[in-house]
Amino acid sequence: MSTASASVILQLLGGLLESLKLAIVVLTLGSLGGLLLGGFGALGGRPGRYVVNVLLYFVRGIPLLIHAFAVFYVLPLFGLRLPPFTSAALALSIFASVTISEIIRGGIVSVPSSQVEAALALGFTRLKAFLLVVLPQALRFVVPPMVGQFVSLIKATSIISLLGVSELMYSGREIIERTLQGFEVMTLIWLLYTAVCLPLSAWGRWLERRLLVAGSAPIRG
Amino acid sequence: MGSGYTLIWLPVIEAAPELSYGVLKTLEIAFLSSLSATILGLSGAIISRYGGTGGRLAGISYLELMRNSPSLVKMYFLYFGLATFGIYLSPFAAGTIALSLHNAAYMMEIFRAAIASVPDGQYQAAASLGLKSRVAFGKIIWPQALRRALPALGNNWAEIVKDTSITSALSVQEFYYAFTSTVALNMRTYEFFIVAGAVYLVLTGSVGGFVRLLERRLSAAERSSAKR
Repeated sequence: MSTASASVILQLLGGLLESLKLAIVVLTLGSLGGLLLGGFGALGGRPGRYVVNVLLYFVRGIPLLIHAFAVFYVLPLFGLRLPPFTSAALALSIFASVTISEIIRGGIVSVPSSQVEAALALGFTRLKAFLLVVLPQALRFVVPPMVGQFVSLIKATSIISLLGVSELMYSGREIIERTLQGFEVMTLIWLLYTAVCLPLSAWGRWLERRLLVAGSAPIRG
Repeated sequence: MGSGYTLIWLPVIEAAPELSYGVLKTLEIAFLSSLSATILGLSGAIISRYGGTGGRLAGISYLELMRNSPSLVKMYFLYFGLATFGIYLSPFAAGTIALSLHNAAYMMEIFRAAIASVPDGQYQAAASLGLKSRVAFGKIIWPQALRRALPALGNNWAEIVKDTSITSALSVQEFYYAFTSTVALNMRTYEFFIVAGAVYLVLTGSVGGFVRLLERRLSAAERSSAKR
């Protein structure tokens, strides 16, 4: 490895850091947004289901690039100008909220309604019944697919590089155009993404297997 | 709407030829990638199911190598990475091959799960009727597996349609590229954005319609063969 490679590696690690920063913001905001939206979808009756379904229709039918384009170029038409990193975080967080909301809605719906009735009969308020009885049971079904969704979202941050946000892919392309070390740089980037995503997705699948085993036994009270 | 932005549709109509060309390119990439990813995925699933320990290991390695990084990484790898060795792929080829290889991993998982979901009794029944294992797979296992795989395959095909937009990173002149370059010329951002969203909804919606059609066909075929 030449001295140029050392600085290349350093620059790529800087890009990775930006990607991870973006991912952490997106996963946090996306989980919060997804919880609110998923709760509304599961408990908001017909309107709740309708709103979530319409949002899902747009997110599933239109590429993320177009959604991101909207945040980067359509929002300014309404007078809202944001720096690139904030725009990227906003676009991905909205996208994340909608995809996560479907997972959360599914989890909440899978808890039998008799659980709520029993909680209410014991004198719980509706809010407490949801927070203390429904949500903990729903989470068992929510966590494994959510980890999988996290992996997808981390990979999706790479697409934001096309809109000029400096993260791992963007810095990779910059280095390639300068040094022409396409093979070395892309192999490294491939490894870096795998190093972040492989443990996470393996953990998600482990949780899923464990849930399958635990799910066959009755829930202990 | 912001300060005095009025919708003007004429620029969209003027850009129609360029946008239509983009749609055709998008369809071309999506069709080629979906087809090759499906074939590769099915071959991979068969190899890892029936290919012994070596086949299983190869399958798992391929899966993990592909699904833990974005498809854009593979696109740049094929386009910029192979250039290091003097292999120059066109942007179109790099984009299409990358989408195929990336999605083949997901297809492989879909087919693997579908084949595994066919009960063992079906294999035993086929064997007891004296069918060779190849015939048993083709006539008994595969038709059932395909029916179970179809909804997930459809989702993946729709994903590929959306992911064609990423090939614009290599300046492939598909729909997203045509969209951004025409917007840059005339700045009718809002109108073009609405059109772009609608175009993708129609494209992914058509994939959904096609899958539902196939599902009906397959279940009809099953019913008629059950009667015989």
